[in-house]
Amino acid sequence: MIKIFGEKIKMITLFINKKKYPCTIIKSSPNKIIFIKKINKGNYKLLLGYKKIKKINKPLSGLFSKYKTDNYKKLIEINNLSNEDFKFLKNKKFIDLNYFNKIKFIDIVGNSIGKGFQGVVKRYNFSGVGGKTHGQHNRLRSPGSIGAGSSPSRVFKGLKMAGRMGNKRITIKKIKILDIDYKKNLLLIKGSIPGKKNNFLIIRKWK
Amino acid sequence: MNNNKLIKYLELKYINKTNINYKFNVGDNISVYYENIQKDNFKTKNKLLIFTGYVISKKGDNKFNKTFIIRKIINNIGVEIIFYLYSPYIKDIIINNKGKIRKSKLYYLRNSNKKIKNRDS
Repeated sequence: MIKIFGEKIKMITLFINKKKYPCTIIKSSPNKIIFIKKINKGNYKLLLGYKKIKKINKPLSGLFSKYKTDNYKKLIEINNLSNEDFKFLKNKKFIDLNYFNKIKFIDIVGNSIGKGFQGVVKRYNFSGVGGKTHGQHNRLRSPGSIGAGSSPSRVFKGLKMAGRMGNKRITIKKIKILDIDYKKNLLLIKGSIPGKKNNFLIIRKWK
Repeated sequence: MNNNKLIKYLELKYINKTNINYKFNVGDNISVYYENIQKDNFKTKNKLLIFTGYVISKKGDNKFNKTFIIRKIINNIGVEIIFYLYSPYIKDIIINNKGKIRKSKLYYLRNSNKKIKNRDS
């Protein structure tokens, strides 16, 4: 399955045929095909690059000089390409949004907004301990007990506690495409997607 | 290409040109002619309604997201409607009076009996 890179721009409200839609604008300039290789029978390997840059480290510069391309910031390696996708990509240098022509639904992968080190009330919707009065103090948003006493004499693995929240890889499935602008490489989809503005996204077909 | 330029390109593409006067300010008394669709089980009726009142606020950074609020007092009850400025349901906007104000958002009108003065007087 082919995946391509994009960038989140902004959310707007869009009227189409007098109907109001919550809409996200995604920019996706053409993705460079660095190579396609045949691994074994009916299996192909693909490397895509997105967004040109000047400075790059030595190991990656070896890769780009080997295939005689420009330097790219983001790379994605795709295994298990089907025969249909291989025929689509044959003799092409770039993939753009034409790949999503005549398709209704897509999936989008992105990183959510990082919230930092958060307590248990915000992270897992715990209700905190009791109330303010009846002799309690300084434990309003604390997790409470974390297990029994001497019989296990340890804390179980995977217990919900405070820690880093957000900045995780999140996939949203079956997003509806409202419109595609092939001139400026813009994708208009229904609804919201994870992450901040100018975040990198991975876009693929919905199965 | 700059992101702001991309949004201006989309504004040209998706927002239809109309003859409506959008150049009113906060504090003005305006009347909005808007289309209202009522759906029954069998019929859909299109009605043209009028709402007149004072503009409390104008918000939004681009043409897609721009909204304004109109406030009116009916039988001692305050009524407010939020419109999208470039929505296809708005058919006409007429400016009745221009107001003399000191703030850009007139939310204080909700809790007081003060009235907006005209700009001429």
